[in-house]
Amino acid sequence: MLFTSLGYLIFLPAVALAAWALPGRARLPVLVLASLGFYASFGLSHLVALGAVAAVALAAGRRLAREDAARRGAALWAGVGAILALMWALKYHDAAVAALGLPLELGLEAPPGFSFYAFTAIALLADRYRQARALGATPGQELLLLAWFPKILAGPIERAKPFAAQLAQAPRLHPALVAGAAQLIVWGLVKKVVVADNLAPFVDRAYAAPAYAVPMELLLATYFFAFQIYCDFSGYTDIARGSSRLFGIELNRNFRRAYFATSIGTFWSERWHISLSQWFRDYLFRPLLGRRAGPLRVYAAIMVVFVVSGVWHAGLGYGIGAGFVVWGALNGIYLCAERGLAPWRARLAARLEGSPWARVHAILAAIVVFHLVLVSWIFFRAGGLSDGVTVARRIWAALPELPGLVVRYPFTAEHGFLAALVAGLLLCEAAQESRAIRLRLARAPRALRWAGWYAALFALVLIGRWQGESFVYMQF
Amino acid sequence: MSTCSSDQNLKRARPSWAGLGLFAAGFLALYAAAAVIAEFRVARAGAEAPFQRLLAARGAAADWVVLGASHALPLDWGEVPRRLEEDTGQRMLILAETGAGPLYMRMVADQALRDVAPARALYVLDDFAFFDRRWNAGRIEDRALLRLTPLRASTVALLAGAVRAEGVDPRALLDYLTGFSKLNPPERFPAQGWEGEAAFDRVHRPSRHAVRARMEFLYPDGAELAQARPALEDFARLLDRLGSAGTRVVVLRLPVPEAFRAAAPRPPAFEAALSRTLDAAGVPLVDLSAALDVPEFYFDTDHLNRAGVEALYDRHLRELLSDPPETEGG
Repeated sequence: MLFTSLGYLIFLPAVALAAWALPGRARLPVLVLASLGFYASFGLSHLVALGAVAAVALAAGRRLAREDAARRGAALWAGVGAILALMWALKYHDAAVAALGLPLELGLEAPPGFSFYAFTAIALLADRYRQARALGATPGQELLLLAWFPKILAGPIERAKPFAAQLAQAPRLHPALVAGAAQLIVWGLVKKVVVADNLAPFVDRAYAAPAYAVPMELLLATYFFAFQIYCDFSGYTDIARGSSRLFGIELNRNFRRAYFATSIGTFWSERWHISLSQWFRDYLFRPLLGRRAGPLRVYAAIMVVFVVSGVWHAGLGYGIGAGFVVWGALNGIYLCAERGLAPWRARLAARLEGSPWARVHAILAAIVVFHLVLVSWIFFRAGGLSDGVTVARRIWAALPELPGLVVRYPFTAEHGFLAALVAGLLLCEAAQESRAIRLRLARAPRALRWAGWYAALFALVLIGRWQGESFVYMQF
Repeated sequence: MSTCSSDQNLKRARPSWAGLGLFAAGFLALYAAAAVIAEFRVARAGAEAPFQRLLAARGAAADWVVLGASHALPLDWGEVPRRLEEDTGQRMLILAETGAGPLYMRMVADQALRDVAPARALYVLDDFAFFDRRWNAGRIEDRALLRLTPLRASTVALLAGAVRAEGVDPRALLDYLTGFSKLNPPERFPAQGWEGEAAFDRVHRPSRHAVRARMEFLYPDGAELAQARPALEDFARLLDRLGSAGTRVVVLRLPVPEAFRAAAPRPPAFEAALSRTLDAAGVPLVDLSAALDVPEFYFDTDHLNRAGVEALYDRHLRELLSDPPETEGG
């Protein structure tokens, strides 16, 4: 039951009605049952993986909740180890033994969204280890934290304490809540079915056989992929946040107009898949640094985090291979280089501060950051490392001819349509960068406000591509 | 002043339940208006699909209707209806559709009986259309065809029947009722579609690879009798329905190149079951599949080109359509 399916259009209001209509004490069980039902709609057997992760998290968590318990460290590592072992078995084992030519395949496959609730469970155990009882979540709330249906497929990765605090409150149903939820869902759907799913077939065609694709098509496909993956993932997150808000539960923002980032650091920490970046920061980067870390250790920790992130992506998605590792390593190198150049960047920013050139500098920085990320996307999207190298090499070779080619290239109506979608998205995002469109519309007269939302709804009806495309990050 | 006005707007912008209801009602009204416009355009757009053709021909009796999948479409492009009318005065309406099997054609035949009360029906047999759901229920669910199916109460009833009794996805009915595919065409940039009519004047260069690829496309899961049983039952019902309405039916296998014939799986059990179905309905089968074995008569692996249709008409069809066999053909 994808967010873009007719089934979800029925399921979501039905569950919301039930949750609001039933007495407060029935709310948590209803939400847990609805979440399990939602997840089971992708396959009843998936509940086994979810059940295993939940059992480990709850069992180890109970032990960690007792501050006086002996060997709390052992309980933490046993819990985290069990979850990582399950992740290995479901995501990596078969690919690894097949690569080694060993006849030891398990025949297991990770269910949709496995990584997301596995990461949530690891965070839950680590937080329980650090805060013990102060974490405050009950087993029912912890189960919902793992299984909460708006976020189970692709996050955001929530933390136990704020999530449980929201569940403990008694939310009030009011029109603004419903309107806000619906607005987020509509905007997420626009990003997903209007932008991402229309871009996807073009990108798929070009990347299917990069050795034979026209370099201009590869270049356009790479640009389009940057927006496809952004709209696919951030669209999912908006729908997830809107769906959750309908129940009075706020989820974290995971994206903030990522391609307007003026540095690789802010791209990862403040704009792209923020909840995962924070997870890596809290549960990998900081433990790697320890209490007193020198510069070399910082650089090494950055590289470890990004390579691990690449390996995490390599489990599924656009094929299994070293391409994802290269993608992660490239971003790690960018961040290390940026860190190394930080004093010069700071000096330049100080010199430009207050002058009109500061804005030009910001725009140029955003363009550079976008293109650095774009290069890394090639290795993310390509079917493997060799395909990625082929794409990069063919685009690179064609670059000198590009200015002349742009003039005489036989662009089609499809190129125009897709470019218009990207331009429309960028315009909306640029407008949002100063003030949210939702707030702008809220201050506008009703006719204009409604016209804006009707335009979004009719974009869904008229140019949305409703063909049941799954969300890319569901596969992780 | 402007701040004051903006604050007033902000106050008014606080949604109320009534406001949300009004907004939703406004959207539904706009959607309905757009759907009506789209519906009007589909009904007026002409004759791409069988149900559009039937709407356009409604009320005018037809001497012949032609049912079947893509093999029958060249008859239209080669102007067989015009030649038949000139030669014999009989009016022919071609209602074939690419990849449409007996289930889809049963719906078309039902609609044709209401709209044009055909005296005779020529069913152009494409064996592949019996062996896969995609050519039957799948075609009814196909948004590309729903987009070209004008909204009519009689068609709603047929589609609802197919949902109820034939396992057609209810979403197809919902799509049809809401006109969604007419507003949102599923193929915005059809890059690699079947060229069909555009290639009609060409001559195909025979290619084993192309024939093999075509077979894989037409028979994705092979050709076992068990796969064909539901479509055979639909075919029997179709023949029965036409027969009981007084429409005389002739089933025809159109010519295909030898390479295609040789590659097509035609399991004897299927042939026997088909014969039994035809015998039970008292419907003759005219097999012209080997009648034109010259590559120059085809524009692709298995479809007649203009020269092929003209040769077929002159050598076989004119006579067949003027004086169709009563019970047995050959």
